[in-house]
Amino acid sequence: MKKNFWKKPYGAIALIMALVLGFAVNPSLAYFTDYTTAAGTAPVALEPSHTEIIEILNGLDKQIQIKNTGTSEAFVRLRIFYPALDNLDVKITAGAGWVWEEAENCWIYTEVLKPQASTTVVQVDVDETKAGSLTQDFQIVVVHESVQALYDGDHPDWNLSWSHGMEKGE
Amino acid sequence: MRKIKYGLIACAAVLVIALGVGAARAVPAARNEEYTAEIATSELTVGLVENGVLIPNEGELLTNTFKENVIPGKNYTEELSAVNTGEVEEYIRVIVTRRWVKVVKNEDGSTTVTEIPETELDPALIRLSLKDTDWIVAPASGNKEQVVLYGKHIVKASETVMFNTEISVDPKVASILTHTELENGSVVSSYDYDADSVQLQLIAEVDAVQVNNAQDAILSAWGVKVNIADDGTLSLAE
Repeated sequence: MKKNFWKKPYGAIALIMALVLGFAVNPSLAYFTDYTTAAGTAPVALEPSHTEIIEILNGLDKQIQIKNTGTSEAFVRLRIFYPALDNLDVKITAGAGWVWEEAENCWIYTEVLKPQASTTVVQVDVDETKAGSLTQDFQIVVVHESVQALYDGDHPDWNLSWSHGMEKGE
Repeated sequence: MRKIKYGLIACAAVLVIALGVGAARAVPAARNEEYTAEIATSELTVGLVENGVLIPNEGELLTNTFKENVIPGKNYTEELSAVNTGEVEEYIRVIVTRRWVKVVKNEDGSTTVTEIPETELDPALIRLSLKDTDWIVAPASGNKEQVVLYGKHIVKASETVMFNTEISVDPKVASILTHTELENGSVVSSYDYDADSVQLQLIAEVDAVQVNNAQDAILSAWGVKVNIADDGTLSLAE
């Protein structure tokens, strides 16, 4: 037998309740609120450092400087290679700021290099008297490396710069 | 039984008509008499202050924070405060969003700005110095970009509460540069992203809510259950 909803009064009662409640329930409460918002962007100076060697030759001697040709501050270091020959006597005199780093086997420039600034001079002197007796050619090769200066708070930090700036380097 | 049914339906109909008519009658009744009533409502408003300057709603941040491109690791002053610009006391919360975007210059001179997903470049590399003395600092659930700060105390009219003092970029961000050695021995560096520049983005939203019935108001407005101590101190409910 098919049930008829209206045969029992429950349906009608439910309908009445729904109607009454529908009218009786208050609308959702509102509260006093306010908001404000603002946004901004700023470019981050993540730039590969650009530096170049400036060499002035004077006979067999040479004066070496490194210039920051980029737009960000940089730290630099260099190595000087020459063959170990009996009569080749090479003397290296580094200017202020240069420090010999035994562990890395290189000269490091401890000062941060501002854009367009150059390091002090590294002087490479070859004893020409002895070198004159050499029977083979030789080269003095200078290799340098630079990295963008990264800061630790208010100051550029040498170790931080090399560890983070070159961690994926070759 | 049938009589009961008809009776109930009739009752329902009467109720509906009565309620409807009652509402309808209210309108002409109100129009019959002319009167004015002055309702005094105090204004509840809130503002955002950056380095001492009140920033308008939907205004721009960071315009004077950096005098240069942001150097990773370097600290920059970025004093951010919420200020009660209204006439009544209020509770305040702040939502800070930080994210990375990349900018690509198009051939026509325009630029395209695209968000870098947090899975590729951690938003936490944008370092803020959020103050927890006056604020409850809570990370937004499931969102590494956002931090929510709930003001612990009632903020009086004209009162300013600072929530950040400095901004910097973690030097680890430099690792997004890849260095490649060329055949001639020189090394070139490039971004991991196909972009002309990488930028940080900072968004701050300040919300205020009434002090009266604050627990319900905050739950309704912010969706957060809080406890309010007798002295008005706010704490997050467990």
